[in-house]
Amino acid sequence: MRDQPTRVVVVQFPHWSAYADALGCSARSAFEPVVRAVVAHVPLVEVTAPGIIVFATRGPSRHAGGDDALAALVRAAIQRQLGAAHDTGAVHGTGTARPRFGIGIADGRLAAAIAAQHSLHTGTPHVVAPGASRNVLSDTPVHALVQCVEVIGAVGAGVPGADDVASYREVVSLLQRLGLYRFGDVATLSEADLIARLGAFGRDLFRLAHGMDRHPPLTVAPPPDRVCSHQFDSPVESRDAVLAIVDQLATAVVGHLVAHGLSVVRLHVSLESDHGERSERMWYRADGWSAGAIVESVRWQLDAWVQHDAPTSGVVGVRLSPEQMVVDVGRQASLWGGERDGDRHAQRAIRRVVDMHGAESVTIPTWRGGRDPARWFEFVRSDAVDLERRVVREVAMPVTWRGSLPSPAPSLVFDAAPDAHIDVHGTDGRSVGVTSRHAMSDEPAVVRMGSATYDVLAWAGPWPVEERWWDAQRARRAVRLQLLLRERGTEQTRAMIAVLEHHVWRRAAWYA
Amino acid sequence: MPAVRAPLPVASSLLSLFTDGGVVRGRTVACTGDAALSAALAVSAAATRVGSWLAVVGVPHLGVGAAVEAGVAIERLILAQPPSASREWVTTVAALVEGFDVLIVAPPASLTGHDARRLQSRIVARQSVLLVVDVSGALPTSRTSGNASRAFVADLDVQANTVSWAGIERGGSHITQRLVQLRVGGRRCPVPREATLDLSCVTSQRVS
Repeated sequence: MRDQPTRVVVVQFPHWSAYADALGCSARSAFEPVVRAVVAHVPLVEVTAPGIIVFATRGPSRHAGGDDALAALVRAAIQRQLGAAHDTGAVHGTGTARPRFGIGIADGRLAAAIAAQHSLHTGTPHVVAPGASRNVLSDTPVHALVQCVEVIGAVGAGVPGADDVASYREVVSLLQRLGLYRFGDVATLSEADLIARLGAFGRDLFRLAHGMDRHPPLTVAPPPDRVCSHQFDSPVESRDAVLAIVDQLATAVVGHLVAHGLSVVRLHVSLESDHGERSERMWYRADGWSAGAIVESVRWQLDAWVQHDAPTSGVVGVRLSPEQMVVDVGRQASLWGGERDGDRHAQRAIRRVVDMHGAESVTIPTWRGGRDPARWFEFVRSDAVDLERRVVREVAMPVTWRGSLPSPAPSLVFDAAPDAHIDVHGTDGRSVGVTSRHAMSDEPAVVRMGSATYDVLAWAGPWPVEERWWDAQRARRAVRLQLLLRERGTEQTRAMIAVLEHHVWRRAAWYA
Repeated sequence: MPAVRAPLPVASSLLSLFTDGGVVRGRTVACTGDAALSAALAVSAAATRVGSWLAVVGVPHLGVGAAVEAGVAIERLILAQPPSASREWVTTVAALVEGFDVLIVAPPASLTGHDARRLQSRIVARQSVLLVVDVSGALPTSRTSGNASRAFVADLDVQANTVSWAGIERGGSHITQRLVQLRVGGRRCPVPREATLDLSCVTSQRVS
């Protein structure tokens, strides 16, 4: 099974969502012009997530006159587009720097992703000669996996909790503890050993370390045509009507594949107007497409088509063609007992609200860990999460972690917002300070918050909060105090967490 | 009349408070007191473990750690931040009602009684449960006001007041346990019921 990986180009913008945020638009809509700039030269690209474009070199490279010429062509097209965006004022005035990006060409997604990382540092496209990717890989440290997670998808997809960067870090740290620092070290182990030690992670790692793509090529008959496509009797102008059909098709396609123990990782979506105009796009998702995620992607494709090409008539045809399928490692269906009606209804309701007020109006908690309760969960915009495929890790309250807050957890947690400022006064009426050795200048006696005044009944702490000490820009040196309060003039007791940072107290959490 | 569905399940330790075997669907429950939010999470947790989705509306600072402790199945929890204008707020929450069995809402101060009742009729039609929380005491600077909660005509009132904070001293230890007295009354519960509980462990942490 020494199958050959496809030679691919990876274009990666490492901080795309931050860039889009700075522009004040969604990551997808900001990325669309970049995709279009590339599509002008390469007919069919895969869009995995905003910020990442992948496509096979075979045809485009021949057309452009070689890999180097292709990389230069794509780079120039993207830079022209980014330049145009800055000049036309779409970006002007926001003070946002042009986003950095890397272009890598190699055999297989991982090697190409690593080449793209390399290209980020050098500023020029990085092309690994055909056949040389394995050698490059064997010298590459395993922690490169963390940077490549978005391109190659989670290692061991199918394992609960394998979705996020944090669990990649765990895998990498495990490998390092085992003395496996480079992919070359991993490649010395047998597949059976890796699987025995790491389960599904091991199988994927074996393939990656040997320069193969994660998924072995699989030749299976695609679902029958009636399952994959729909022709409307008359042109449809309404986006919702098109998406309703896409929803049906996607459910049927995914259902058909699941019934055969498969899931689709690469999906070709084509939309056709009554006048023969077409929108075609390839979608890739390493851990398989769910029906809901397909609908979201088609929504992106449809919006972009309408906005940029303005088709002259309504949609008459929709086709979802699974281009690559993998054996479903029994992820969603077996884990959650299959999709329920309730899940679908909830996803539709979320989509409606997002249509009304934008993707940031709904946020989804995603486990991240850490010492500060405000950071245990990251609230992710709804369009960044595949609700059907959400796998929540076994949430263990981190009571044993040094510096973490013990249970019970506060029900309201606050960011460091300007209105979160409070006063904590000691018995002498002066603001309470904390020395570098975490000794308080005075016992806390009174807390003022807005117009309310509270007497301090009891307190715990101060506990140090020192996070990201290795990163001078984002380092936090703060202390945390748990306070039991009674509001003046009432018998009402309340508990809160106050944080002192840069000589200013703020409310950090509240037990409501 | 919509078909009557089984009540929304609650944790066994709350069954003595909700005598119908859970929270009857279509009802509006007003949660007040200093532990209002924790109480609302505790009441909704069991339902999320059997497939119901929970939307928390207008509480952008929800401490998800507390939701986890209360036993909420996080994979069926979302937060929504609708605009605060009364009409738009209700339209948005009504859209959520279509897909969510349980909603915990902190209404904006602008909410009118008319709009609140529009939402309540959606709740009845869709057979969901609406938990209205008043977090104004916790957020002196927020625009959410206690009055907004009164725009709703509640079927049940849940008063949740902390009766003891254990563990914390003047400079020692930390809060290890919080006991909350829950008092359930209101027009659909003429005989009020009380129980004192540790809300952080009413629903067992593990999915059976």
